[in-house]
Amino acid sequence: MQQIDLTYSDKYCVFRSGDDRFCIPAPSIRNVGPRPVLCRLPMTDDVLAGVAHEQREFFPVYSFRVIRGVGLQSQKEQQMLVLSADSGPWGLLIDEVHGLESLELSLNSHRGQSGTWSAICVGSTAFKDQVVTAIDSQNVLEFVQERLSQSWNQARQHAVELSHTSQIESGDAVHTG
Amino acid sequence: MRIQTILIGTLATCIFLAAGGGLLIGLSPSSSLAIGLGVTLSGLSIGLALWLHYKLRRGLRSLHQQITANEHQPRGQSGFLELDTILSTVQASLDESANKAKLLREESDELKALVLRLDRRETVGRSSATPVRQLAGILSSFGTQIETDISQIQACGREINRCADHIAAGGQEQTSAVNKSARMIESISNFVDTVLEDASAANTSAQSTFQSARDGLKEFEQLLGELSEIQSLVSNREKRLRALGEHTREIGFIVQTIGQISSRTDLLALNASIESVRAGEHGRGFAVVAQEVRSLAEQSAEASRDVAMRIENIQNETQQSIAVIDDEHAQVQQVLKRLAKAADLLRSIDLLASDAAKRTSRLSQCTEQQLRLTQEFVDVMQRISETNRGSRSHVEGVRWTTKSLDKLTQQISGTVRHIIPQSQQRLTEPVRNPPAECNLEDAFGDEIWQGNGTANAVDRISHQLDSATAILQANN
Repeated sequence: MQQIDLTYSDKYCVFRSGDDRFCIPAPSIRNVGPRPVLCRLPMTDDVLAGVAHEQREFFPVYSFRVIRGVGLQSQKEQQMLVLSADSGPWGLLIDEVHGLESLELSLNSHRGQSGTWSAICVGSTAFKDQVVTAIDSQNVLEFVQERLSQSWNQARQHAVELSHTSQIESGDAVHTG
Repeated sequence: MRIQTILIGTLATCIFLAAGGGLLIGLSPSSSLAIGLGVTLSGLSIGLALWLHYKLRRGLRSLHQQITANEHQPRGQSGFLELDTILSTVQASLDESANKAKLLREESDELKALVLRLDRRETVGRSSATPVRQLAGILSSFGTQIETDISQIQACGREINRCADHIAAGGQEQTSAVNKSARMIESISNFVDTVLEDASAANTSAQSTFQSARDGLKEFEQLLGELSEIQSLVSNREKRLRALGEHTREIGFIVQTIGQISSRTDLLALNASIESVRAGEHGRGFAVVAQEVRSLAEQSAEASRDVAMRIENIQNETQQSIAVIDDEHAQVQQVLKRLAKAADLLRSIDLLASDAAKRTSRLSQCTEQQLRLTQEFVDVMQRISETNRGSRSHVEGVRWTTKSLDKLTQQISGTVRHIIPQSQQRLTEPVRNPPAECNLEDAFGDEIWQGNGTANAVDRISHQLDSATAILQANN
């Protein structure tokens, strides 16, 4: 995984999600674009908005609102940040990009447990009289992977239970028959 | 029945019966029946001859009796036509003889009276007492008759006078009634004058109303036309405003496209900035350019937003204007409907005013005719009044005439009363020593018997009676 030194880069991409502002280091962003056409995967968590296809690549797209725990709203997130990772690019749906700004962050002294929201938020700063929360893209990805694995495990367990139940029911049916 | 027929019939019957009886006896002389029948037939022929004898004798006796009794009306028929004809002829001759005898008697009486008168005239020289008495009697009866006539004339005059009084009173009442009627008719005429003036004024007002209604209707129709033009103008303005709204909406689409382009440009510039950041130190110049591009994109986005806002404002105002124009259009439609109703009402008023004008004109004509008739009626009443006044003067003339007649009859009566006592005195005076010569002046006084005195007096009376008769005829 490519480690990005947040203190090294002073450029941050400031964006809005809901009523809050967030920023992410500019080097971790590959490009910014409008919300693409997404292919929704069945039986997955809401955090995975779908799979996008851009520039001859398929990559997963996650919903930042769901990550934040705000939940789905009537108005969809209109823009998407494409970020680079070792496993390949991935997308993060946001409401609006404000731009690249030079910010001076105050980093959090205590970092939360991996896979939690506190692990995602790494610092904060002020921009145009508003508080901007700095997030770590790697932590976001870990958070998402953790949540998806949990979801898939639950789904797998549920499927096993369902198959076991169906086998029992079919056996009962054989014995009965 | 004619005697000849009876005789021939009776003779033939007797011959037949006798011949029959003789023939029966000759044929059978020994038969008692034949003898009986022959005797019976002979007896019958004898009885028939006796009946004929009796009939002839009775007719002749009746004729004789009627001729000898000289009866004008026949008492009965003899039974023979010839005898009845003779009887009628004899009776006609007797009637003619009786008439001639009567005439002869009258002529003889007249002759006797004439002879007696001649005898008296012959004896006038010897004795005048009898003729004077006779003349006095004639004059007395004549005077009595004249007095009776005068009384009747006076009665008639009084009746005429009474009738004249009635006529005068009736004429006076009629004159007063006519005068009263004339005054009432004049009052009616004054009322009719007033009605005529009012009718003329009403006619003028109705004409003015009719003209005003017609002018108002014309103005109204012009107003309707102008309002229709205004409605068409409003419709055109609405169409233009709708077209303007459509254009602004298209401009809004274009501005929206511009906004999208500027947004994409902004994102593109942002991506360029990101790439420059990723390039590190090598991308600093590119980052400046990307920042400028992004700045321009933001400006264009801001401008497009501004334009979009203005266009939205224009569209809102256009929609409001269209709504206002729609309201105006609806109001104009309502006004047009009301104006159409008002035009219908004005047309009704026009018709009514025309009808009222015609009626008032007719009323005015009728009132004029009524006034003319009233004036003619007043003239007729005045003529009746004048005729009544003339009748009154005629009645006065009748009264004056009857007074004159009364005076005349009094004069005649006086004259007659003057004659009658003298004649009665002469009648009652005994005849003493008749004069040798008949002196008429001594016999009838100075007034009557002087020369032609009596004739003059009778002439005067006759003249007065003629005058009275003429007056009466004139009055009639």
